[in-house]
Amino acid sequence: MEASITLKSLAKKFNNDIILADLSLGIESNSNHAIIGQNGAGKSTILKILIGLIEKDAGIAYINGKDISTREIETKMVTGYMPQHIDLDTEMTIFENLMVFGKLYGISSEAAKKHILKFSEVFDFKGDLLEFPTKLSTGTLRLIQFTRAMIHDPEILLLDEPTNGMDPQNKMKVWDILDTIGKNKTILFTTQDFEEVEKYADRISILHHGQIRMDGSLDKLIGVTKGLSKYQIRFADSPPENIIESMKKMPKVLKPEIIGKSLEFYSDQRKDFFEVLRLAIVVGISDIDMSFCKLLDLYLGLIGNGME
Amino acid sequence: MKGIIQREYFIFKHNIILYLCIWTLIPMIVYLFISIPFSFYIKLSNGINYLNWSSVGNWISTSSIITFAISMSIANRYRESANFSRTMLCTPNSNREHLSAIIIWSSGIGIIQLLFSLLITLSFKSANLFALDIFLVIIYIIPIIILISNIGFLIGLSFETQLVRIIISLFLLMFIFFSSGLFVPLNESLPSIFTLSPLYLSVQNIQSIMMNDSSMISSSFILLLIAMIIFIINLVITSKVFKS
Repeated sequence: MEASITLKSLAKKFNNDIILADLSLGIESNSNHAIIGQNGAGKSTILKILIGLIEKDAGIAYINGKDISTREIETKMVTGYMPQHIDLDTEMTIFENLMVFGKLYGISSEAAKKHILKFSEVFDFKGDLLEFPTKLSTGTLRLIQFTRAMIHDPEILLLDEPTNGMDPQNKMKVWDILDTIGKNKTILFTTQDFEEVEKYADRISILHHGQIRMDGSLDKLIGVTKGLSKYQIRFADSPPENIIESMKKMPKVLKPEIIGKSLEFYSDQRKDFFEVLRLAIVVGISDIDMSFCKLLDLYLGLIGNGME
Repeated sequence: MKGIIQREYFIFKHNIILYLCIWTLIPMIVYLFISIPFSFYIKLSNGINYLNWSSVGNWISTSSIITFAISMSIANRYRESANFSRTMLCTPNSNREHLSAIIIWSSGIGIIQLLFSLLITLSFKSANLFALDIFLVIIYIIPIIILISNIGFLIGLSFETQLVRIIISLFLLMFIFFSSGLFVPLNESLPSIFTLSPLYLSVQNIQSIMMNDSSMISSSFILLLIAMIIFIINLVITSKVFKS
């Protein structure tokens, strides 16, 4: 499939801290691509470089095959951006905030008004159009920012934690909209919500220390765990002493750790679980849980360097 | 560029009363606290009434102050990371368009201030000015306003700390006002850097209009040229600051 966004050997440093290091990534046209990573991993930096808010130190970035450095105006024209923080102008009403953006993208007042009315009805903020941003909740302001990013019907949407601060109902509305009208759009979004990623992303990139550590569809990513399961044993009192040392001797047991009154570990061998259970049974067990590895487990494993 | 100006217009619309107060009060304050006290001490050699003569200072200083303040405050908004101005940079508008829109807007507000100042000072102390003279005065002051707007943008974009900005602005404006002979006539024995400065010559031209003498437009062209140079410097700075 054709790539809408291409990043080649992108690098960025802030005050000697490396934020992005030799990062390369391709985002297919008309796909939903999620970037996940810790706070400060560089997720927002990637979006800000693409939208022209930050200058990259090295590398090349293309949007629809056009270099963002040399054809900035053209690439900005086809891109909509929603930042992570509330940035609406508190000295203008919501309607004015949105109208200004319409004008900045060169769309007619009529078209902008039509868009604003349509989205304000969908997101239920029609009654707030003449209010100032300071009077509205964070969730509503996020919806307004989303509306603003879509005002010129862009081909590419760059969404920085788009549903952050929204209630579940509005989160669903946003994703429904993206599902319906976003079929012909390329969506690159960052998030900390793994459920959202599992549900809506066609491709996922895990960003860590300025580099893409893993990249692919959810099935592909989960596939690398090769049937790894997460086991959890909860004790009535404290877990038995030395159980971690005993577990470390089992070659297939990964990342054993005690969290409060729980013992957690990963393994692809059911017999390991029975062996651990035998060791644990000497003290009272209150509950047992087993699940196949999810994206969150994979991510935590990668970030924590325990399961590489 | 229309969108950038439209934003400022919307903000202006919500603060119209404040603007009306500023437009009316600033010339009155300058008249009461500078022109009147100075009139007791300064006697002009050509026998012209000081209050009439200092009206030029009132027009230029008031319109410059408001232009400078607006240009500087708009420019400074671009430095704040979570500000609407930063997000405006994601739209397909070049830095030149952003800069031009700010200069146009702040100069426009400055010109309205000039009209208010003209109206107020002329109603206080009627000088023998005809419509054509007033028109010429406005034409001569516009390049000064454009220059000051560019300087305001430069200061707003260059200094992040508010206190530093205020101190620099105060010193700069005081220097500009007094070195160009706005309220105190300059001594002819001063170094030629003062007496030949285009700003001083422009002020002299406007004062000549007040005295029904002839004036030359050349100094205004030099002021516009300086404004253009500062505009280019501002453009270079925006390419650094807008992408930081």
